[in-house]
Amino acid sequence: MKKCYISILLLSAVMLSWAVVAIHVSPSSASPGADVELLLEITQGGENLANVDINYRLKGENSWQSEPMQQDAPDSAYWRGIIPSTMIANDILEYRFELKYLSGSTEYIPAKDSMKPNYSLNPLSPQGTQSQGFVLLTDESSMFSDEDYVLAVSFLALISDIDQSSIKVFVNGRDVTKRTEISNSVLMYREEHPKEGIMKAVVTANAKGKQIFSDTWIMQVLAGKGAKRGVPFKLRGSANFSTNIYDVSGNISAAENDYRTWADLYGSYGILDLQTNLLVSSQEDSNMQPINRYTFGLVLPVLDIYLGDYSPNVSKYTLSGKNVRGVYARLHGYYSEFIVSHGESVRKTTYEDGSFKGGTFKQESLAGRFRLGSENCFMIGFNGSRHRDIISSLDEEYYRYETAQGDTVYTAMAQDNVVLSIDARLNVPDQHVMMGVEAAGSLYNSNTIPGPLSIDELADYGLDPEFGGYELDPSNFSDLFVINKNMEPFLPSRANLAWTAYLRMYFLNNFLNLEYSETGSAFNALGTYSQLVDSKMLSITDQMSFGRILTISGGYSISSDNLMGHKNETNDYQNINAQAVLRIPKLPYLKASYYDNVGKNKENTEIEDESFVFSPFNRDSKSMSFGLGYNFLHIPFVPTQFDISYRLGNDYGEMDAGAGLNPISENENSGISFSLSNRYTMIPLRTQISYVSSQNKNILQEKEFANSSIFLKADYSLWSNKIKPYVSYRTTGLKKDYGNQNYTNYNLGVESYPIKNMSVTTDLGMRSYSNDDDSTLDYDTTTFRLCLTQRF
Amino acid sequence: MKKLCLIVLIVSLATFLLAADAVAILSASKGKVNLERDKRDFKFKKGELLQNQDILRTKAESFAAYKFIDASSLIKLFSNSVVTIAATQVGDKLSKKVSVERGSVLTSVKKGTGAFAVHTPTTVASVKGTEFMTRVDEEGNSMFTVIDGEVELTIKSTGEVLSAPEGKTAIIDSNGTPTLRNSSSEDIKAIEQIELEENKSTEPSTIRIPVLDETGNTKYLEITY
Repeated sequence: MKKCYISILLLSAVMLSWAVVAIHVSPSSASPGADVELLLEITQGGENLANVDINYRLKGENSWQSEPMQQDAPDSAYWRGIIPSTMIANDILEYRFELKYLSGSTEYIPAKDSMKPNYSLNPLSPQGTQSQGFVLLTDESSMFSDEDYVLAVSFLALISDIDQSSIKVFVNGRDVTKRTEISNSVLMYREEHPKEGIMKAVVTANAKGKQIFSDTWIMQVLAGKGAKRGVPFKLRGSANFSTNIYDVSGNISAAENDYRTWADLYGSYGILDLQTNLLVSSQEDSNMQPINRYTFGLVLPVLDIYLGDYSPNVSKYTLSGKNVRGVYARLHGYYSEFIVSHGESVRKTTYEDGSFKGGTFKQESLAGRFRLGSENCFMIGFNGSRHRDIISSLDEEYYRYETAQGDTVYTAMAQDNVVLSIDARLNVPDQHVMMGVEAAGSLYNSNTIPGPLSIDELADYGLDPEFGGYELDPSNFSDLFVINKNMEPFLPSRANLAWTAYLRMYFLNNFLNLEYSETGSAFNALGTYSQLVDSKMLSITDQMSFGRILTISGGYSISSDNLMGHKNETNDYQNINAQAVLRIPKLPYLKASYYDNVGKNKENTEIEDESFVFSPFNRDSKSMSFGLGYNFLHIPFVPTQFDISYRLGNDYGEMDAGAGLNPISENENSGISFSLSNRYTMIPLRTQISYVSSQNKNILQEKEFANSSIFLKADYSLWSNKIKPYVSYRTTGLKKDYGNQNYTNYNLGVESYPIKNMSVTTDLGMRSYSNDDDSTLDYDTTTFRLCLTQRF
Repeated sequence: MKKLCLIVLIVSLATFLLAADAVAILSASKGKVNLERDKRDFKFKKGELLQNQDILRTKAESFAAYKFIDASSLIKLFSNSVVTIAATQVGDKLSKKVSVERGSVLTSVKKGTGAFAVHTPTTVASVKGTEFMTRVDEEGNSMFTVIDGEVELTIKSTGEVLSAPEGKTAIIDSNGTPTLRNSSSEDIKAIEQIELEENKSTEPSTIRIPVLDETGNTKYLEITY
């Protein structure tokens, strides 16, 4: 029975390691002067997510900026976030979602290494009806940068219909109404010494209760001879500070008040791009996972340098997706590339449980890559990485102790790992075809604490230290790799190797990705996440798009362990997932998703082990969801965005514990998610309603579990959006076999914008927890939060 | 009587309010140009909004241009000219008035865009879609050279009305005596000469046009003229 549960746990672990399934309907365009609100629905695997960020940049830029997304409720499928209006300009904006898992790994939607393009937002004319009543009085098509840019617009023809207080003027996507002189029937905006390039202007207003907008007027700004050449330095980003003050009552320990300050700066100076990300938190504890982050990056056309925290991507098997605090440099040209990364993987090092002290070591990371050939044609890369636990980073008491018998027991092992890999890729951009392969071998030492072997110890193992007339002393190589009895040497065999091959292509509106990989049982890579040793996997994913109307994507993967055939049984897993979004203009969008996970084991009959009792199991988990949503822009006075999804699924597990296959688990589940967002046009009120409900029926145990969550929020803008008070309410009810529980949250806050691009948010949150079965567990907390943000 | 007083008060207030509103925009100025508002010199920049009864003065080798806010017309003032700007809103149309005290003024008016009149010391020129040059010399003689369309001239002292079609030049002397003749080549050349002065500059100008090369680097194409 124990083995049964272990198997199920292993199966669950593998299933959990699969990527999340998400649906996102891109707005596809952005209106000037308004934040772009993005909604991401995680239909599967959301429980593995730590947080989600939106990465965005203007098309053609190198560095990404980030904005965190907020989950509607802890168990909600909806994540929301914004791209600030300051980014909405003339150029196309592209974005992606950065999903950070609880395991520490990171994934992107769309995938970073695929041929799929990122989501994009085109600048859009404002909403409403285009009106010819706005007449441009300054009709020159070009000007010099040493002159003033003047936008003068007459609305004389609209004078009897227009609400003058509703007039907004946008130049290059920025709301410049406050700097615009608006007279009885004419408006004038002036900008001294504009930058060279294109100036785009548009005017919006309400006329007879309807939103109208002008033509988009374009002016080319040329560099005049007498132009003042300012420093071509562009800077944007934000500086932030937040603090939380807690108060609790009831059966819960009080959290310590905390603060966090962070700044993200992105700049460019000619061909040089700069990036600085700083985060300092009072919750930083050297004994815990690091919170503080420090990144400083310089990007030139041929050289990228990052100092501080960075997640290098050297290659799949050497170093990928792990945060390293140190130095990263990438020198790259059309036909070659050289990458070096050196630093420390910082992480939680110690923990104590009563009298027991345990811990893990900090790890030194060194990786490099040399690439020959063009990324747009054929290239071959040579990669290497070494990851070594730093023994001195942990006090001895946290990793070893002596037994009463005098034996030494290690509770944590310091490891040493070297991975060498070679990868090759053929890319035919004109044909939209890319194929590649990477093969890697590893050296691994599972415990370096005893140190390298001495020459005498080598002799004890029957090894001759003499090689070609030269005495090989392992201690001479310990800086490179610690050689001792815990080492798994590299032997050119399938067990020591990991390899992957992939084919990505775009044809007939399809983005197809085929990938196959094998990882030997003795292959270890400490520089990457989720390397399941002794396994093989085949995955096929496809995304088919018909314009922006229909997008169908899906994937099929099969994997199995026991690649080397050394185990008594083999576990096979199969995953099928599919998503579809149908978005016909002016009609609600429809969406659907489906996934099916199957896991089962089979006996390895090639191993004759009489003591082994094979217990076959079979588990199948299916789920599907469908929903629809719409952005009702034409509802008078209350443009409304809504989204609704319904999910249902079941999972079934059976196992043979000696009396034939018997069910060990059978569950049916269903749920509904609903989100409604209203933005009133006549009054500056915005409301939001979100409802999530899920039920789970355990058929074997004849038990039912349910939870539901309601979230209500309203905010109201005062004084031309300078102050926005809001109130929100959320209640979450959990119906479990060990008692019904209820969480209730009230939040009352004010967002204010005292000066340009600055926001100050104060929030008072009250949370109550009640447990119907044991009221001694009830508690109340009060949190006061202050957050300051200055964008520039 | 009470009602009459009230109407007068409302009309006066409306006139006062309208007077303070912009009726035109200064679209160009070069050289020494003065703007007089409320009998004081007013500092301005290109794009300045002009109000009722604003007076524009150009000195030697100077130029100014403005448009009424209904975008119906463009008025160009050449060297040594004095013009008073006025407009009245009638519904969603604007009734425009250009008073030329002296100097040369080229007027381009779109058809169907409300009343438009050019006043000189001796004459009122009413137009509905035309282009013509008005010149008032030191002696107070007015000369109208019609380039396109037709101009209806009313002599202030006699009330006489005459029409000057395209290709004609009308001269009304300071006594109000009209003369209508074909525009001579000298008249046309004089207009061309004045327009050339508008574009005359003491220094060569340079335009720098950014272009991208094959590798994506920005380079500049300079045109000096």
